[in-house]
Amino acid sequence: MNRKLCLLIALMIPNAGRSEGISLATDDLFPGLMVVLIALIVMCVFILGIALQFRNLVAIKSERAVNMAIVRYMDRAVVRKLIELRTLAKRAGKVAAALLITILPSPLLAQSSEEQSLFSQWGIIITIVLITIPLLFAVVFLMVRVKNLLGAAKRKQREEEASFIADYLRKSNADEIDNALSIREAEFGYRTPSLLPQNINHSHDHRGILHKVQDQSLLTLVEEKSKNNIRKELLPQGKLILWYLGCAAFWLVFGTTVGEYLGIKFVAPEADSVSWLSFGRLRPVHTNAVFWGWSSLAMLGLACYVVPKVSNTTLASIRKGWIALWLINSAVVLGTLCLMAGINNGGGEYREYIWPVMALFGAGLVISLVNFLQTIAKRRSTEIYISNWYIVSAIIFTLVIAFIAYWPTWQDGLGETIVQGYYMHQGVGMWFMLFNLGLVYYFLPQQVNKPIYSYGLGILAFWSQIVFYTLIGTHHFVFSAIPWWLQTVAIVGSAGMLIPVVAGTTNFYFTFKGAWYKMSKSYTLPFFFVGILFYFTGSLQGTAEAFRYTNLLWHFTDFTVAHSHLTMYGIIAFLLWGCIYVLVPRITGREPSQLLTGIHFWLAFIGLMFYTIPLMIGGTLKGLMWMEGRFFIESITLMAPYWLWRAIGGSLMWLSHIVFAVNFYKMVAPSTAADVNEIAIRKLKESFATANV
Amino acid sequence: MNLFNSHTRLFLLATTLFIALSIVVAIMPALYNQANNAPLPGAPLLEGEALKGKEIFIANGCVPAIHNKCATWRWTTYGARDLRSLPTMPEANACHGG
Repeated sequence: MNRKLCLLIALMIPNAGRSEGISLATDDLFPGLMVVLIALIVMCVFILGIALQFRNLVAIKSERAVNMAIVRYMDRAVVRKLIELRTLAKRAGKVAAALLITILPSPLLAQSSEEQSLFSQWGIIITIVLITIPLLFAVVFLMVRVKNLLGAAKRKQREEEASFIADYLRKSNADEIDNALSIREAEFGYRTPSLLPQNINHSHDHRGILHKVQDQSLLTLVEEKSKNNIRKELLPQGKLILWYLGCAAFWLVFGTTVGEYLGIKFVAPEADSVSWLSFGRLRPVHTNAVFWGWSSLAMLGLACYVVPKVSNTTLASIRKGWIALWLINSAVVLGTLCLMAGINNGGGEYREYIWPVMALFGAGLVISLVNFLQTIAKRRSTEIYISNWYIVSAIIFTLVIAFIAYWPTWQDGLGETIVQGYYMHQGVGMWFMLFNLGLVYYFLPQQVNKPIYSYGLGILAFWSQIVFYTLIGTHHFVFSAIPWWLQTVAIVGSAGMLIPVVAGTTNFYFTFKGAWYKMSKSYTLPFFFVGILFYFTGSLQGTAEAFRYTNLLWHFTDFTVAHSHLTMYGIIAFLLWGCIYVLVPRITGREPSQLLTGIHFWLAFIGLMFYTIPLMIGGTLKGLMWMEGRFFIESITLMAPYWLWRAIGGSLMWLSHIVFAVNFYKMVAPSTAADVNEIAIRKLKESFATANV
Repeated sequence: MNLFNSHTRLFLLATTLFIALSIVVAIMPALYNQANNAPLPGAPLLEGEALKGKEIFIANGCVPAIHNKCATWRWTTYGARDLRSLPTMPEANACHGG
């Protein structure tokens, strides 16, 4: 029976994995095979589960006994239905087959019908499932919060009732009540001797470990999170890190202000007619500023802390850090000016900066690399902690990628397509993702106060990321004029990304295990949680997008824009914020406002959802239109409402960045308010001095 | 393991692996593609103004395979279902008029 089922699924899935039902021997077999593999694993787990559940039953000797035992698990309605079915089966003998066909809807039917439903494509199904995961999380979270709020309101109501009763009892001076009470008290009579101290109302915390004792219940708008328990660290590179993060925050606000304006231009294309502000020039200004300005500077700044910390030593050279900061900042400033003036590197996406500008960025990376390597070389631990594997490799790989991308020999013509695909995807995967994973391997265990779940999984993810991620660049140009085998390799590599992504996600969420309660008490952990969630959904969405059918449908549409924001923002930006909210208070000793941090988090999260989901829906409809061969202008008209939603979501995200900047300022700016205790002591001293005279 | 406790060996190994893969999936195919390409069979040959226009297009870095509507043209001409019946890519190297 199980073998039959397996066979059935194996027959069914390859058809679904491919865009059309043709022979099995095409290149499109690979995504199909991957799906079969996953389905097989799920099947095995399922069968294993059933086997375990029924093992006891099977142990019963006779077949009759087994049947009886199984039937006993069913309720009356099920038994009746089964009897009906069996009588039908005896009559027709074909009921089982018919049932199977109704249970397995589209893939089998798709073969026979001419027009395929969009929802029979596995790439689409996977994407829809992935999109719903964070939404479901948000809905469940909201429901829990509402339930808690209602519970609290109910409690408060009861307390009011209680005080009313108390008042009534106090005021009505009736003897009957006293009598009744004393009789009732006597009835209760005997008490077991209490172990608690009798004078519990006058207890005192002798060790001084209770920070805040609340003697009345309050119904507050937001729950107060626990303090970050800051131990201010005296770091020699503290000022350097703050400058890195400060510059990053500036580029975030700058870059997303530009992005916000671009979003507005989609709704109001005639907003201006200044060449420096034209869409074609501002778009790369936005992407490059948030890539090389915001994310890269934030990452390097955080690494100035993490690399020496996990090496148990100090940063090799603070001066090198400053030089790198200057170089990278000047690259972004000059690059922005060049782009706005119309001086750019043509169609190379994410490498629109001309090479002399990018060389400044590269020099900054080389200096940072030397600095970090020297730091690791003088480490006081034998092993190299996994964070440093990721961080240092990310810098090395990015230098390799940038060299390949800017060297002209192999891209004087059609070769540029292949180099472009390689470069832009390695840029996000090997620079931002690899680096951020390195940071998370330090900050997440530190925040959860537990060691990382599995060091081995981290190492597996590291090597498999190198092997698979390097291959996937050309999946951006499926169906274009590049070798078919290379396109297939890219698709296979995209499916292979399941391994590092699942390994990483599992590792991080299992680190949370047993410490989930900390989530609601911390204002930093939600950022990590969401970042990891999008690491899973965003990365696997990339895999689903790489299939041939989904490429045909989504490529060149707004869907790609949604995907890049889901990953660069949902993963990278959220993780970086989490890290910054952890680290900066440790350097300055000042925490951000909890309310503002909460507002930052929710504006960013909700904004991202409003931004990406309409673009995904609109992008899909647009792709379908193109495939039908409709006029291009029709797809523009179609997108108008979706672009409005994108502008709304983008505005929420932009607002959250302003809030983040305010928070950063609060954490960093020296407190101007005088310390009350200091003044009180000074005044006391003065008064003693005058008294003594 | 010694390999992973020595930063020189660890990072050398990772870098070598990455560069080797990069050469195989990026540099070599790029060089090959530059040398081996031809217009699609039956594609109209560009002349005069049209050719000059295309050269400006390419000179500005509008990568042929991305922005010359090659893919869109293929979709609209042949439709999604018939893509596979076209000649395989390495021989045809679709729309690059060269």
